[in-house]
Amino acid sequence: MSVCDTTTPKRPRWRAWLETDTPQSVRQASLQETWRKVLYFRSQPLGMIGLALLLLLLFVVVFAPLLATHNPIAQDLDARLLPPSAQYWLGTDHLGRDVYSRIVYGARTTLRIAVLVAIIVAPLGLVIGATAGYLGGIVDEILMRITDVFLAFPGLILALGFAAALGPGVDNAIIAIALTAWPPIARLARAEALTIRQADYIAAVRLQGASAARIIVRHVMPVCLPSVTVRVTLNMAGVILTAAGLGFLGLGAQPPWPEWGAMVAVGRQFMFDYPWVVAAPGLAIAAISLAFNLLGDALRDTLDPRIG
Amino acid sequence: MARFARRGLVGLVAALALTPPALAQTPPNMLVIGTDVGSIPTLDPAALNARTVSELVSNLYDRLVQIDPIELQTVQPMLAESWEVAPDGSKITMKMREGVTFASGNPFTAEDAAWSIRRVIKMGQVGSTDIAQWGFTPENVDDLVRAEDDTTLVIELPEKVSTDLVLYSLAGSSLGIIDSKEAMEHEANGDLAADWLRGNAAESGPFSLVEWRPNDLVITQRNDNYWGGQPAMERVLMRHIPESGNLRLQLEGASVDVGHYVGASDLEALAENPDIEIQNTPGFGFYYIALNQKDPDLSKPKVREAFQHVLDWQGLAKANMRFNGVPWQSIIPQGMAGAPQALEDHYDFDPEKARALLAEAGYPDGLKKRLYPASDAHLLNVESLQATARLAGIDLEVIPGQHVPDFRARDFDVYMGNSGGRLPDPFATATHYAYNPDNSDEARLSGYYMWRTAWDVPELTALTERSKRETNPEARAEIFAEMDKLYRESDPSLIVFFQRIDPYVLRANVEGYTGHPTWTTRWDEVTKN
Repeated sequence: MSVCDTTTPKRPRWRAWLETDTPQSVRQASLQETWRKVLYFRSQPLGMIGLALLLLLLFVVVFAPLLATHNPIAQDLDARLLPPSAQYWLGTDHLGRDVYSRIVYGARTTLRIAVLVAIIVAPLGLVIGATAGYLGGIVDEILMRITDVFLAFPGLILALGFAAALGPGVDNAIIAIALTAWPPIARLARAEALTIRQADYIAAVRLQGASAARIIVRHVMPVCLPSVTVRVTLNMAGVILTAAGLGFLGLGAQPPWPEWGAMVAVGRQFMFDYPWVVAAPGLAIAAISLAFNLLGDALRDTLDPRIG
Repeated sequence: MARFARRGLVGLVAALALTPPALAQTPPNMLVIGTDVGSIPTLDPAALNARTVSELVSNLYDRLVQIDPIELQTVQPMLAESWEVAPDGSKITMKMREGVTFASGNPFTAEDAAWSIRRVIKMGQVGSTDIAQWGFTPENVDDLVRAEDDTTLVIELPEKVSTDLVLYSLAGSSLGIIDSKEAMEHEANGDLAADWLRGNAAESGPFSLVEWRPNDLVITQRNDNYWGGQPAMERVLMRHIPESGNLRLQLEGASVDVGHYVGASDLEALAENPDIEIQNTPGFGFYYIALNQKDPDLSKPKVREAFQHVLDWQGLAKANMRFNGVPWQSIIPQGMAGAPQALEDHYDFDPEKARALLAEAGYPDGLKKRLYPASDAHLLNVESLQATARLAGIDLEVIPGQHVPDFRARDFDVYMGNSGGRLPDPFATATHYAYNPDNSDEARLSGYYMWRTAWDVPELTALTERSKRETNPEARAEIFAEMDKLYRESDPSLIVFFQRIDPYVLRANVEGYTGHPTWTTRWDEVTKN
């Protein structure tokens, strides 16, 4: 590269386009808005740490077979409960399985639960909340009383009940957690919907003859989306802890496949003498929960309408 | 108001700060046993057969005879001073110990003994399992078991059976002799005081019940005028410490003297501690893999044989099973009549051999089955089997949970559990593993493990029947040896890998506590120094 080129570093053209004071189109203006949010988010170090941890998790999940040093389910009873070493980076468990490899593969279970719960919960809560908030009246009453019933139980207990009734297994754990995680989101979406149902632009759409369904989907739900996103992200920490709790109680992933909560449960017996068996999965759970919390916090600040 | 609240808060904080630490040395005249009190459903001897409660009840009630904790097939006198067996083996006449009083002060007579035995039979609950095998029924027991006078008890046998077996069953904790006068004062609606005895006791033994708080604590106090001499321990406490790690810390801190049910990993650590002694008490039961013979795949002999070679039992013997079992592959417990002299290694761990056997049976691509542990305590063994069976091409899906009811209902594919028994005779294990008089579902003989696996070998059942009637010790040993051989050669549905061990963890200063294989460990000889 030649030297004379860069006396003042030139901003790339796309950046200039994004940061110009005079947007030429609606699309440019809205992209500029998004860009400002991205910049704001990048200025929050804790949020970036959370994001980095989650990207690391994603990386681990995708490349688990390459990252693992051992077969996560192969046992070697002669090499049980070994401390961390060059061969076994995080030691071995009670059946001589490599703890590091099990954590790497366990990340798949954890991320799978978190993502699937989010995919189930966010639309469900959004639809129920937005419908109740927009339509009001008897629909609101019915939907919100159902929500109240679910909110009346502690989340973990309810999830435990569902998981026990459905039978142990990851899929059932996902359903059980999703069933307990949607009510707060519905509540939030309803509150947002209530504040905008009387807005002029809604009235305008209605006067143009849009159906209730169209208004809810096209005009109410998008407004609820930012706060729901924040809420779901913050919830993820709870979801992971609940999943680990179910795994701990034997209602999550089934042996021999590793799951962090189940690893803690088994490692607990060996905690005094072989702390790494329980410490490693415990730290993994803590780190990922923290990452979701940090990310959620940063997102909340970023999506706050007063900022930007 | 605020001032009161603040003062209250300060007081609370002070109280919390000043609470003495939970760990404190046990007093020299008190024995504290850390165990699982939650498993005690009742104190009624006639209604129990589990380990913790058997030990407790064995110290509340004396029995007519007792079994030596070391010489297991030696019957020693207890409340019966001596006994005579009729030459034809149809009758046992027992002479009662004189001058014995119950904790209530009532004198002990042969009538109390007869009443207690009849009661167990009439109640017909789990406590009667051992003794009812000899043909006693609620209808005939009044005639067959009777007091001739205050010191003579006659037990007539309804069918021909080895009288040693009868004596062993009389030594069981369910046959504790109850103070019948005291108990009958609390009888309601002809229930033989069942309701009262569930939470109270009419003691004949060295200790009396002071308090039983379910899921918390059992307190017993010595009987000062116990006929066998005053126990050294004034009180014995059984504390509910279900968490193994907690129990270990309390044993190390000397706030518990004896620990039951310490987990394998904690036992490994305690074994290194010079202040701790671990007693490995052999039990009359085995750890096994059970294969449901109602399953068309598992009922093929070659498949059953394949399962003999898929458990890394040598590895497990060094790991999870180090303190819970010794490798053993015979259904006759070690050291008993007809048992092999030493471990015979028939079931070597060889996944390749298992794979070849499966191919011979018509499953070259392996098998897929569900695997049920008896309880969470078996989960480690189950996980190990799952991993090693995979090497032989057997894909086992583990279904965690408590699956004893499924096992009893024949609702399983492959199952891992353990058995236990209270009769110190191979007959007891034979009834578990080699006895199935009616293999139909309707028979519901769920007491017999062989029925549970739906495996029917009439020759084994006949041998078990013979061993019950045979009185000549040498002939019995031959029967059991033959049974064991036949069992193994038939590629059994219940594959035995370990003989059970019950580890008792003791502080080194505790003397005279000898874990009893029939769960009748006594506390009256215990001393501390």
